Amino acid sequence: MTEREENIYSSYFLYKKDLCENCSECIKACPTHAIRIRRKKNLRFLDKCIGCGECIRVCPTGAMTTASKGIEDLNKDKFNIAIVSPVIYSQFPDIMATDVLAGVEKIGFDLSVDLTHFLELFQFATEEYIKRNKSNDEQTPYISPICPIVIRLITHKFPNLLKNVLPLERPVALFSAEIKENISKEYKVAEEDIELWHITPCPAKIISKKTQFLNEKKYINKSIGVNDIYVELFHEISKIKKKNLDLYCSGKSNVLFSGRSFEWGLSGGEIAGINNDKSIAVSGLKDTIAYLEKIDLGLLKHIDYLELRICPEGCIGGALTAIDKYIAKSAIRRLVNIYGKGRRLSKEKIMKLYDDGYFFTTVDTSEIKDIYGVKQNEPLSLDQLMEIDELVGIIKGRNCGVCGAPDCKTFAEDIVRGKAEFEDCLVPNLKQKVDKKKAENKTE
Amino acid sequence: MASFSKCYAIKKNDFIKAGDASIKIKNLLKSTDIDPAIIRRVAVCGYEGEINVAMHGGNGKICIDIGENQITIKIDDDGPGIEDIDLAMKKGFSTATDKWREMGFGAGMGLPNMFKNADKFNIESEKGNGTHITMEFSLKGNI
Repeated sequence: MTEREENIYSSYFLYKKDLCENCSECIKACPTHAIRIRRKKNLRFLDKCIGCGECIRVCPTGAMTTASKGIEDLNKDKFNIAIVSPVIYSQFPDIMATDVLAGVEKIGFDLSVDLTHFLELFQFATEEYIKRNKSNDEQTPYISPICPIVIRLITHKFPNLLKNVLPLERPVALFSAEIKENISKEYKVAEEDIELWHITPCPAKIISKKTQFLNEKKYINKSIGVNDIYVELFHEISKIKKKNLDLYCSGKSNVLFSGRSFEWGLSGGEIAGINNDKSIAVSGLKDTIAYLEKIDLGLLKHIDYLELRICPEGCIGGALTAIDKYIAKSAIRRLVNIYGKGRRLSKEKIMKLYDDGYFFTTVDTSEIKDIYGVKQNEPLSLDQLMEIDELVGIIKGRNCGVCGAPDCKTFAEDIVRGKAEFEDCLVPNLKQKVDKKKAENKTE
Repeated sequence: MASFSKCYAIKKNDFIKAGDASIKIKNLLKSTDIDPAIIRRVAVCGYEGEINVAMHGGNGKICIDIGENQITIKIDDDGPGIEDIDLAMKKGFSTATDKWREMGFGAGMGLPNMFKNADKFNIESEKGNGTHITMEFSLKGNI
């Protein structure tokens, strides 16, 4: 069998057939019901995958992984820049952020750059935007544009909430827009010889072509999971200094960082840096969906801003992190204690940038639908609704998943849409039973 | 005439779950091509009704019926009933306790809001016999 047949890709994930034990955990975990296994191990991703990584989390054998090519994809002929997300610092408890940055350069990158200044910039801009646009009843509460999976989820399940997404560019987009030009000048490399890498805990960012949130696609060339480089990075960092934080405990001696920047990876870390007491931070798939449902109902009007993160506890719970989220959380708390919670940037400067339009996205959020290519289902007719309901009643199943759909209702919907066959279900003679019921309905 | 019906239970004093049925109803309607503006009105009415039942009514149920020309929402509870329906329908009137007000409920907008959002609204209630609300939403050949 060729590799092509063995491995199946979605927009974000790679499924390795030889490792799969057919447990169907991934199918049931998928929030958009985007996975099906039809006809013995022939797994398919539907066009509804939002890249959340739940399938990776629940897969007991590791058959479901990211499509990341890893550090081997590093082209030595290029000038490789790694954008380091603050989540990475949390993965190395009691190691200085500067040492982590140095370590990233040791594993093969020509330059590692910290993102945190731009996080602070973004927080300032968000604060200002909310202040100036509070009374816009149509768009409130505003939804944070940070979590790419949330945006995909909204696109797929709540398209009329796209108008609520804060129309500011994400920090990583602001950053990458500038960095190539600046580095090119400073290091005297041609811009086309620079490859920009994003080291990230987020499965939705792994295929950079698909990280097309607003302007990002223009800049990031490659992405890599934190867990892809963790072991190598760990070895390099331990060679660098082997000093622990206590030796640096001189308050804010290091001007490069503020504790706020480390908090970013935690749920609540984004709004912690925004002066607005009518903000809420929600994390985890289930709760995020519950809150979106509420906004969709027209509730939560008294809230100004919602920080939503698909991963539990925020980005430190990302599917591509290397250490447990609670350990990472505790590491962040220590960093915050050491660096303090001050702001590093001057408000006047930022306000000038703001008024110049520096932060605003050039893409209309309502166009995101086309950018992601997340497809909505065709609407069902009343007859189809009744047909599905009747079929579920005949199956009377317990969501066993043998058919390869997440539950009986989805299977019934697949049947009615002509995308599954009666024989896929364990119920014997299902087709005959359905025909019989139909005949009965007619005579009634 | 063909129609599609579903019922969901509402539990007394359960404010975390109150509203869940309306969300399910909303998602059911969203799988069809019914006008989103109508879906929103149905969901808002269902939600207000659910909160009312959980807060004042006791145990109850909410049922949706999707017909070719209209959607019907029925909300029934076995609670104490409403003494003066005209008064209860007034904007701002509420018997909610302070505890509920702290949670953001009890603005006295529940019934008026339902009345406003439904095309037809009927309420029947008497002391000791629970409250029974029927709301209709015209689809005008939308589905």
